[in-house]
Amino acid sequence: MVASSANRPDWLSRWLLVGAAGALLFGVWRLASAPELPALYWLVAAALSLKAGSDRERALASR
Amino acid sequence: MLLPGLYAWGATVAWPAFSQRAASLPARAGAGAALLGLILGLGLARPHPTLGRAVGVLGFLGCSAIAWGALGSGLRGSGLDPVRAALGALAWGLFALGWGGFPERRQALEELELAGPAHLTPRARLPVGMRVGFVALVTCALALPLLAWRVERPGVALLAHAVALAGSVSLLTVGTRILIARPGSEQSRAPRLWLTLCLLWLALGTLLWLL
Repeated sequence: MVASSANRPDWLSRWLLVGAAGALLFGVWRLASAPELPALYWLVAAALSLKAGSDRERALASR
Repeated sequence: MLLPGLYAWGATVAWPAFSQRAASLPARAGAGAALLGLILGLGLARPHPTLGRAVGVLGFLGCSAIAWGALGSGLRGSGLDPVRAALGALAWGLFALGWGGFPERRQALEELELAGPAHLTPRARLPVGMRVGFVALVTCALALPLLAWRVERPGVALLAHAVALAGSVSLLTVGTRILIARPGSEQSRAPRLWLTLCLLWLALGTLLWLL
């Protein structure tokens, strides 16, 4: 069976997921040292990236 | 979910809350309510998945956080064995894994029998890239609670554990959906609000870093 173009994975969602995972890991790791502001910055970035990926996947899957 | 949840609760919530005489009533009440949330959430998960997940994850975690907050300096007592604490962190990770994707309601047995074994063969195998993605996702979800144990300062440590646990659950839930998804071809019409906010946030960070 030949895969159609409609079956291609959405790479932007995947990159957003990779970015969110990296930012989460770095943010939690960075919380160990003061000041906490850089860690919080990366945690917010992770949350935004995860939300963007989740919304995009939901919207594309519903079509 | 029950076994790692019980272990995590016992090692990191019940032990400090009930083993110290100085532990306050809110700490013990929080620990008891957390156990109740864990069991209630599991019971509700099958008939009402959304409510069960809310009680089982948010209720359990929220009540545990209340207990930790009420314990205060008691969490740093010498009674907390580092090995038990590390195993507790591992159990929290496994608990997050368990809640990552609750199985759908099972199909009727008769329907499966009618289908016959010949019709139940998989139409395709998971690509290698997707399997690697799943392994990486699970590794990240397990690494987050373990990383949180690096944080030793009171207050910030609690935040780190809460963020790590919430991050594990979110990563597994969203990541599984993204890895499995096979979207349509109309990708240009996907919503861009959060993507734009994310890019603006990164741009702001870069700007502040350069200044």
